Amino acid sequence: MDEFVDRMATQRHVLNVVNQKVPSTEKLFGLSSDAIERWALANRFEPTSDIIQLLKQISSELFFMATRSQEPVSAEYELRRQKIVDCVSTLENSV
Amino acid sequence: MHIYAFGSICRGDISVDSDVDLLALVDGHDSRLNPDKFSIYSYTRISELWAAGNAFAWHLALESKIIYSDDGEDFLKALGRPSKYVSALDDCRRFQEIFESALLSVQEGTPSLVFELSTIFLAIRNIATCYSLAMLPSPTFGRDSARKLATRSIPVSDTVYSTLMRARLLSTRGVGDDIAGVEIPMLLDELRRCRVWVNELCTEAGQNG
Repeated sequence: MDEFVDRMATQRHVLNVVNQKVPSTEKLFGLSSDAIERWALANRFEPTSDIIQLLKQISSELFFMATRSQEPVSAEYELRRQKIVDCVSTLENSV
Repeated sequence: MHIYAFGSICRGDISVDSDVDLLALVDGHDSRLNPDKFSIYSYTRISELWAAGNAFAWHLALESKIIYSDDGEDFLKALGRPSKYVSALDDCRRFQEIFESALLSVQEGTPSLVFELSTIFLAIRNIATCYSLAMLPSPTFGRDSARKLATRSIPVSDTVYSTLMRARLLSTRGVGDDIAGVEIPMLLDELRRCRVWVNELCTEAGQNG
């Protein structure tokens, strides 16, 4: 699948998991650092809480892949893709 | 390393919610660069985009300014003009697919409405840019690009366009008021009109070559 479309699908999945399963006063609007920080603040999650750490990690990997997606696929790229899969799975099991 | 500003700040198209788009050209990995703040490309890759006539290369060629160079040279300027833009149909189809998936999510009552509307905004803005690059004498790159296509501008109300733009800011930069109160039936009605516009622009881009 197109890498960009693939990343959009991953973002959609993560946001839907959080917005369906985590009780909140304001929805999570995106997976940028700024959007995650806004959500944490609005819903009084500690920056060190598991869910915020997981979301930040997924965000960081997705942004890394976005900036590196223009480069030839490397072993590191594949490793990070797997890390996202693992983080999303952990997230699904923890909410 | 070379650092460029590009986008709205280079057009002088500034508002209170404008941010500064930054491009960093590097050799290999540079841990000083935050990918949240910079679009990061290798010299090799940016040269390839130039040679391919990629839409982003045209954006940079027409709307970027160098702000740092570690060798005193302007790397992008030295590349000259990018090759002719020929991938309008492929690019428009790609964003059409993204538009369709987001519209479907909204129709199905997504729990992540802001994200989906942000995605729709991204898609229509990029389709408008690619269309303008291929079909118009002056390409348009800004957040208003879909409304700057003269007779082919997007047929949506200011209210809906502004809602989509607000969703984009919420999703990417976490700023602005929530759009939770938006009237979904009215929104869907206008998004269906957007869909017709998207299809028409893709068809025209295809006919052009």
